Amino acid sequence: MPSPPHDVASPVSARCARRLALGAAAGCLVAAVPLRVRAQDQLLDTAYVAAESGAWGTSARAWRRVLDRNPNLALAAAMTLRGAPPDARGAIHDAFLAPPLSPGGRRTMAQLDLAWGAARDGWAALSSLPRGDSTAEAWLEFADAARADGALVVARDAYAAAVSVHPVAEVAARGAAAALAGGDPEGALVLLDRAATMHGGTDSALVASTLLPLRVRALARLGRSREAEQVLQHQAHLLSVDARPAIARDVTWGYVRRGDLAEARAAATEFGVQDDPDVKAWLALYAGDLKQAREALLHPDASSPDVLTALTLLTRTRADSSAIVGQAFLCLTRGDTAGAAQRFVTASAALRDAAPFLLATAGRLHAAQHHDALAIPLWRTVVEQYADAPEAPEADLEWGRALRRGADAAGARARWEHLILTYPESALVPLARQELAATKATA
Amino acid sequence: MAVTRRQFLATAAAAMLAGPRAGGQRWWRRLDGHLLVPMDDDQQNHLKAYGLTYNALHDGLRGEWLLNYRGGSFLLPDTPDLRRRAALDGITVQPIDDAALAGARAEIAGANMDSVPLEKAPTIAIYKPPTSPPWDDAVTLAVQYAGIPFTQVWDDDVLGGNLAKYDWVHLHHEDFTGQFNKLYLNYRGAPWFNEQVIRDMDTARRHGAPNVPALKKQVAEGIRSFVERGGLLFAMCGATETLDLAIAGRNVDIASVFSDGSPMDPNADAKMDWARALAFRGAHLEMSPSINSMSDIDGHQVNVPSRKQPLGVVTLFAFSAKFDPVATMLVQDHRTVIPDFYGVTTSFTKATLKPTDVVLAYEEGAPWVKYIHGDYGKGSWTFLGGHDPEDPQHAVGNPSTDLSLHPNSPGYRLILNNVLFPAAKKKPLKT
Repeated sequence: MPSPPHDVASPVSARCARRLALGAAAGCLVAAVPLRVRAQDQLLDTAYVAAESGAWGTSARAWRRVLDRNPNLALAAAMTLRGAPPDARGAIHDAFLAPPLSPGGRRTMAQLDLAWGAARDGWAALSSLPRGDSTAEAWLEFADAARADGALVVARDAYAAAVSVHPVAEVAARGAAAALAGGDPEGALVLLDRAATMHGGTDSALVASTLLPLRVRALARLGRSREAEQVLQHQAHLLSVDARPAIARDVTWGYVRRGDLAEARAAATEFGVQDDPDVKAWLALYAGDLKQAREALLHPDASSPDVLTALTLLTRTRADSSAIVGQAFLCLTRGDTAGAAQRFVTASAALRDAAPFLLATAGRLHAAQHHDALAIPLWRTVVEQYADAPEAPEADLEWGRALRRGADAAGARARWEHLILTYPESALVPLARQELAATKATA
Repeated sequence: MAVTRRQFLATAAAAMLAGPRAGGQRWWRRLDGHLLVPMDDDQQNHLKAYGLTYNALHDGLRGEWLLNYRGGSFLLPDTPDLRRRAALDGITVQPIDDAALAGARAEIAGANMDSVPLEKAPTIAIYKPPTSPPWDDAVTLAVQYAGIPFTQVWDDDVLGGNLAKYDWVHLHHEDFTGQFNKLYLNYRGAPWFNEQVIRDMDTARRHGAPNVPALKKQVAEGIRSFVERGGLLFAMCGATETLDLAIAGRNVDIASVFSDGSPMDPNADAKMDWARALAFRGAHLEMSPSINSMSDIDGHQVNVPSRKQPLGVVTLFAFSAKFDPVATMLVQDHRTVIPDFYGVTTSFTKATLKPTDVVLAYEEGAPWVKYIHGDYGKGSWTFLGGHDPEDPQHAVGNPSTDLSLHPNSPGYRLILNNVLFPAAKKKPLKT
């Protein structure tokens, strides 16, 4: 087994290795050289070599001292330490968060926490820096990274902090978008209100491309469809012809979210999207008109789990209408997962040709809500009563996973073995083998 | 309990001379059907196929290793349980009737192929430290992935005489010269390294050894005795080279000052007793404590920048299956040329091999070989250079290889050949 290639290639590492070798020859095999006697370049050597050796705490302490003098090396420090295992991260936190407050240390810690999936901790490390130009720059940089990493609510907070120092409408809009995508339409509206008073907040191009669509979407998400409709009516002249249908659809879905299909149809008509195939199809589906939904939803312009569920259902059943199915999809749109699952189960009794699909869909919804006790009977029904259905292997796999989560390892293994032996051609067989291997490894 | 190459040949020759009735009724006739486990490119999971075969033997079934037939296939009884296990593990098996089997036997009889009965699953021990160092062990990975049971042993087990319980012992990466693989050069401050030093010093004290090099020499002697009494030894990476250095240097100070407090004997080279060694002779020790090399046995010297040699490809030697079945078993593979891979000891220089060594794999035109085998006393040893066949540059701290991504690894097959070859027995031998 060779040593890491960079031990040989890096002059820094080689220099340090020579020093270590000399120390070893002197007989001090285990003792560590005190950090305090080292000069800056030696500290840098130590920071790199200690990390390569797995001495993460030593490396972090050396980096802290380097960063106190040269905060611009924060990225290098983060790159060096990001491979630290979970049990070594406490020592790294201690090194970088120890007083006095170190901008370089805090920036490193924020980047590391983000890389380790703890964006909130990263923001906590960074947010306590004193306000100023360089801090605002760090906050903005962190916000962009958190947003790209999917930590949307943390990104919202970082953007909000950045605009509190440098009020720029475009940055506030980024924060609003993050808030909206993170499930916080209220927070998005707050940022959009502030954006209107910031530099660039009245720029018509920014309003048309970003601020207006975000506001309409946020209002629609909050069920304030009437306000969304008014905003759209007042500022429609700013929008290009191409941009209008998407925003009009947002208003329409806002009414749908409130369960008000009549208002949704009226809004669609008012903004001229009533013949849009997507709008037409979904409104028909919500009303339980499966025939019209089937005809209109041939080429959906968005791919989401709901779209896939709808398309699959419409191809699996020959029924032309089902009010309960419409209610189930309406529940999904309104975020009522439990209600949707219950209605899909009820619908399975009426739509026999799609029963295993409806039951599996309900099972997925329950499992996503961590309600395994509700999901397991559905998986069992699919496997035992619809063994030839395309959902049966998935039901076996998920039944096993639910049992494993309930600490029934033997039951879980039985399900996965059943899947492999019963459906050897299924694409899920490799996943079942992985689950089996993982269960054996932890037994 | 195991059979050496020499004993196998003697027994096989006696059986041939005695004629077809010598073995009595052929055991496969007693079975109603057969499962062929092909080991050529039709096989979906070569590595788990070894586990299927091993566990069939472990459960009391018998099998055959069809050497050079479709990549070194296995023939097992056709039972519902074996079919089930094969299906669960994604192993390709083909039920064959007597007519098809007769056709296969005719093909085997007329070519460089043979059939070797597999009768009993060997008991396996892997010599590895109780704590996990920041590197993996290819054999542990392979047997765990294949589902082959093993027992972990360490210095206390060796010095307590417990190796006699096992048919097959594997060594990996240990430095039997007691110099901690000279890892102090780069890893002196690492917690895992400090832990290793403290653990070995404590073990030395408990066994009355004055230092770690002395302890490891005792352990090496225990392993040598195990082989001499009939045990089968498989070693990879640095364990190959350092085991022989420790055995040959039993009465010589071959450890640097940092590990035993005294410098190496300046005349150590001349004092080495290579007659006691398993595989090597006439090697020159590395006298410098700051050069990460043990001797000139290793041809690649991966951790010495000025000496490091590039990796090439390794060719498996083609043996006569009917006249040299043990060597043939050890090189069964669906590839005859495999990429080389580094290790603390990557290869073995030809100049340091004993004349009796059997070269199993070599690099064309290079002054070193990769894979060697030999008899020693009543037992035998097999050495494979390198650390991880699927991670040619594997470095300290790298994550372990996930063998589910390499189910058809030709390099890992070489390791598993060694695990299974002790199952090929003709008669029990006392260890």
